[in-house]
Amino acid sequence: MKWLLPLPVLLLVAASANCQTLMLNGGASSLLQGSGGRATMYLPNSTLSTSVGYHDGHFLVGASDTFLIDGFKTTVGDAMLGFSFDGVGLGLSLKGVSATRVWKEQNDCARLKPTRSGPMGYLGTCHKGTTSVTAFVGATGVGFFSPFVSTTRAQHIGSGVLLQYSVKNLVLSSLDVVEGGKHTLAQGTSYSSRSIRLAGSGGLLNSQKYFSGSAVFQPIRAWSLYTAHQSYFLPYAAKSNSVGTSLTVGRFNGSATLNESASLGRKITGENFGVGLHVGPVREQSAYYKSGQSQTILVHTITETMRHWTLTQAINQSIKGNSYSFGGGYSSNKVSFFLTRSMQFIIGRGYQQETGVGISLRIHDTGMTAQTITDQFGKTQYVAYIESYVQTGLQTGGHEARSRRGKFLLEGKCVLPDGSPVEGCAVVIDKETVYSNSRGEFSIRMKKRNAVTVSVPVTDFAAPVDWNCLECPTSTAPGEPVTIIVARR
Amino acid sequence: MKAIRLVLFLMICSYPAIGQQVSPLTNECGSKKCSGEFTITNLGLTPLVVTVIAESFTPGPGGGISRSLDLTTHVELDATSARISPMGTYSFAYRVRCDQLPCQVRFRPSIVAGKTSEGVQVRLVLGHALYICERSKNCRMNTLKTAGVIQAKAK
Repeated sequence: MKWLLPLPVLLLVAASANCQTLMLNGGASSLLQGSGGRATMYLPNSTLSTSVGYHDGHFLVGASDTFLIDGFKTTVGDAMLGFSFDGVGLGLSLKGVSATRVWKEQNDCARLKPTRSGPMGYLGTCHKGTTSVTAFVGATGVGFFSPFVSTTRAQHIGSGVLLQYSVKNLVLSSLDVVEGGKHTLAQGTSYSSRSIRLAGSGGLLNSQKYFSGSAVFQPIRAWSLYTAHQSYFLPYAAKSNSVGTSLTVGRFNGSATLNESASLGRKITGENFGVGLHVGPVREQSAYYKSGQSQTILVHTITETMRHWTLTQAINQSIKGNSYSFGGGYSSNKVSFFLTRSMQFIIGRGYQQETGVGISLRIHDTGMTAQTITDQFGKTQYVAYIESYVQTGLQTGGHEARSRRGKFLLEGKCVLPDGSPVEGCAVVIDKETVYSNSRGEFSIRMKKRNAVTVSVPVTDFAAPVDWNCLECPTSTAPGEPVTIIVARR
Repeated sequence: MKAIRLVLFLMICSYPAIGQQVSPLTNECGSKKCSGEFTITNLGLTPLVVTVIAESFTPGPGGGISRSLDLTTHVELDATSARISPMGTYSFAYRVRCDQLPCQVRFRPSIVAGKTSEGVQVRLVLGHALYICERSKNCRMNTLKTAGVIQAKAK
């Protein structure tokens, strides 16, 4: 019952908030070793969330606010961060400030010619490169992020930054994180084209030296070859290599992988081959795994999918014994449930059963989910949670915008062939859409005196007529008024 | 019968135009150089395209007489058009310089509000009037009194 205590507090906080939509969550889980509740308020310009709960014997309180400031998507409070690129993966729980932003560099689009395909008048993309940055600072520690609670138990001070720059097919990444006495400093590079992807990274990952590299070659759509390598140097040397291929031909598919690892002077090799067949609603997959000299496993899985139903049967064959499992589930918008039952051969205990049951219900704006699993040792673990959306009915304001201030004026006129003005003529100038007034005039102010692109999307004109652009300039500059001539089709 | 048709036509025209507003309606300045802004609010559930023109006007009964900008009046609008999202607002900033005082400028935001069933395009024109005098205090009132729109109090 402990987990019920925070709910009134959450409801009190949530009710006082000036929000349009409110999401309430509550739940408990022995599997996740915690319980609690969360209220999320969707405000016009931010998302506010508060959580309280118990986790691993600790009472935790969390709150976060996510909003946009100067193009930075900023989260203040509890958040779970994940950094992943080129074989590097780092996740951490934060109680602090994190922000992320993406910048797109523009080419000199004025030099580009209009594309032949696509909507008339558009130039297509002019992006040269993309830079993104994600930074955080605050307290890090053990996180309790579940469907019903989002909170961090602060233990250390940490900060970090991920910088990524992509140009054409190349992506350069750099991650620097310091938290809890551990240091991550990783650099990565990847190259992607239609048939080749190469990626590599190296540096320190949680104060461990490492190197990772991978390559994928896909000469045709149905066939691919891949290889990967990883090396760790501290606290002890370990490395792994893998090479494999996969092929899909019509209803058939096949794959093969060779793995090799070496650590502490021990070398292990593994082989895996698999074939599959897909006929109508039935999918059959057989795979052979061999590790070392003695361990071999043959797995056959049959899956039938029929509209809302999915049934699975599997047989695992090994020299130590066979194990069997079956499961089924029904899934729809309002109700879904599943049942899985498997027989595992446990050394010293013989065959043991594992049973999993889950059910989800949705009634109007409220959803309930309960899942249990009874492991081979007879212990039952559960996860149960409820979520509900509440419409507060409060009217909120919409998007606020203001005219762009700039020193340099770009102007023009939109006219018919006989010179009479056209009102509502849409003109895209440097990504900004302007419209001509009743005199056919349009203008926009720019901060720089550069030449910019001009396009005329005739489908966006205010007047509901089929327009044809007779004379449409593709670029302009401050002090050079443009004249656009359009005609009705 | 014509009157009924006219009323029906106006009702059809005004229906899609419900819920657009401009604020403030007027502004006053007390020097030859004046800057300010007005805001258009789209209270509807569809995006709107707004275009703005500036013109000089002489106050008078029935809203006065509008004309093209006087040669002595210089207007700079940061934007002359905008697309306003549903429930959104857009602020048009302007700078006006008058060589002769007093002078009056009217900004006319024009909203294409839709079309009638006969295909006639419906345009809603709102107005933001700017009064520029030597002193900003009572500038609008004094201008309207001078024009005879409102009666000056007898002493």
